[in-house]
Amino acid sequence: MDSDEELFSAWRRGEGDKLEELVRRYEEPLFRFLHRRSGEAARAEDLFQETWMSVLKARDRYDASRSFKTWLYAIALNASRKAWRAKGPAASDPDLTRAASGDSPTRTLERRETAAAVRRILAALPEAQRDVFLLCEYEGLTYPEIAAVLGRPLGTVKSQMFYAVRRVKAGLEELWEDLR
Amino acid sequence: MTCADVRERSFDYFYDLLEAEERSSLEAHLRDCEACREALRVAAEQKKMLRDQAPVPRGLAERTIRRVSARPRFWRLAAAAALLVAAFLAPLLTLATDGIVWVEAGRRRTVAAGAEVGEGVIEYPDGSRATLWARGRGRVRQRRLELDAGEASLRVQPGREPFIVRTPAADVTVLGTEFEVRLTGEDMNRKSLAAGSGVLLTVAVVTGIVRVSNDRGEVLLRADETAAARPGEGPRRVTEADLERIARETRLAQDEAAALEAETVRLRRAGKAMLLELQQRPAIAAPKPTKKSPLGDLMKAQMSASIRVSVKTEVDKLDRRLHLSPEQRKIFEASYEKVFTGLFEALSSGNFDKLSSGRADPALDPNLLLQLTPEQREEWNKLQAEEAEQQAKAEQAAEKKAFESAAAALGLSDAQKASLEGDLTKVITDAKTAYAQLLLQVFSGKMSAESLEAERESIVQGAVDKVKERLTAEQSEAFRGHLRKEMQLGAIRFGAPSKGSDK
Repeated sequence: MDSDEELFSAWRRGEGDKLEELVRRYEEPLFRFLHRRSGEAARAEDLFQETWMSVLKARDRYDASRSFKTWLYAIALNASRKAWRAKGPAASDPDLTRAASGDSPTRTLERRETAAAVRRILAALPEAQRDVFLLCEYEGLTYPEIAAVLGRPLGTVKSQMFYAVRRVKAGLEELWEDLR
Repeated sequence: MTCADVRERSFDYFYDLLEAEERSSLEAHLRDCEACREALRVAAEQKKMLRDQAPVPRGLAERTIRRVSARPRFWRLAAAAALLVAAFLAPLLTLATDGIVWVEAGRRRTVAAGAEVGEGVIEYPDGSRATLWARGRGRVRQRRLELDAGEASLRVQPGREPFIVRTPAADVTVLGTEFEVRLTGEDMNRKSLAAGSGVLLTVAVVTGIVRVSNDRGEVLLRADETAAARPGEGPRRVTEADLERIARETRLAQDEAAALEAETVRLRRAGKAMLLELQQRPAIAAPKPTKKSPLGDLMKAQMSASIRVSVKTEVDKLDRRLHLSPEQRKIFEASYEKVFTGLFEALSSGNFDKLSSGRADPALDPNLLLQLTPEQREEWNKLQAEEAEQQAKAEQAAEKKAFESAAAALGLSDAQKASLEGDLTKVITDAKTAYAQLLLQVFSGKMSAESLEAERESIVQGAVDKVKERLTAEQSEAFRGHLRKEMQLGAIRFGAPSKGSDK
């Protein structure tokens, strides 16, 4: 399989379908990231599309020697911050979307409730901590990569993660008790 | 590390936030403490809850791709722009695409560049015409006559490239005119002509200006002027007295000279079919033969009018569906203007490689969509999807049609049709695309009209090669002929609406 960077370079050389491959590759992780960050599916979808439009516009500024993923998430974060400034924080998610296929109705319900509760926990994090936590937990970025995406010193990233982990842990323990 | 420490720092352990010695101390504690191992397992379960996620909306990637790539829309716009450009350039296009016709004793036949011609009328695709009189012979190319012997009368249309009559004695470069060329000599044998011995060229101009030049000099001739040239001598203007002397020198009988004179007069007066007046075409006004695109300054005004029309058409269509406010309308108009201007510029500067790879960034400014209300946005998405679908359908129908017509021309069996449809359709589509790009290169002055024919042949050859193993020899030849025809049809459809009336 081609690396992200190879795909993106090929697209910049004019192979139109390569970008499609990238969009598909990031459909799930990037949408989830934006969903967790914004707390609202409809807004996350908008942001997802905005992110790729920005990628299109900024393609000539991409430095091919650097990680595409890092660059993509930096753009996504930017889009999401811009939207936040323009529209304020999202209302709590009204839709809770469709069920993942293959689950029993009970499990689906649980899953939705858990997902909503988790989103609340994450949404309660201070923004700086939330970004670090989401990038680490869901995007699997290493701390140096997170530092690169957010443009913060590595030490700051680690300390923000330290505090985020404490809050998330407390929230999950509480949720765990509720679900027992 | 105590049990409380372990439980407190379980997540730090998961997230690799422990120092090395803290980590080994925690792991050492776990080896000895069953309760802490259980607590860590529970913490891992709790952490798993983070992974319970609502599903990704269906079709998100597809919607995004449609929006980001915007290709169907782009191609529609590009096609519209290309048609407009082609309308400006139709006369040049016919120059580029059609063959030269030699009418000999009432028989019309298309001749290839470089073909030998003799007595008869040569019809050039740009409307120029050369009449070769008895004993006249030479070769033709686009906007070229290589006259080896005899006489020719020419009526030349202005064009992107100069029209040149090449003779062993001198070149006659036409600057828009009607004139006669006469080559005389003791020996009409080609070999001696090529060597230049005993050849005399006379050029008589009826209207317009021609330049007669060889390596010794040049003369500019206007209406009713005559010049003579020999190999190794610079061309010179000749008077009546000169003409007589020339006639003597070349042992041309006086009465023959008189006959020639009389014939010239007759031609001037009568031969409407043969000696039409030079026809200026203000619409294209004889673009100069420069490296620059023919869509030069001259076209700018027409282009900007076309852009205005295109923008209005597009925005009107949006308005009907989205009901734009006056402010929104303004913003959309500005954005579309940019898109169309970019397209036209790319077309006129010959950046087709950029265009065809979709890299010209014809997409609208993404911020534009932020100007819309959610309802408008939804309608916008619908409109885009509809257009993409229409475009796809139209393309499919066109491909199907192209295949059917090829299948009929080749006489494919049902079994062949079934197995070849996909590949043959692709080969035809690719060939046509490649040919369209060639035409655009000729438009933009990146390729000469002369080389077009060879390029077209190589496209045809490549296409035939791709499928010939699955066709009979006759079918392969039929395919070659079919493709050649398709390319001409394509060219005519592309931009020369007047061609049908040219009989």
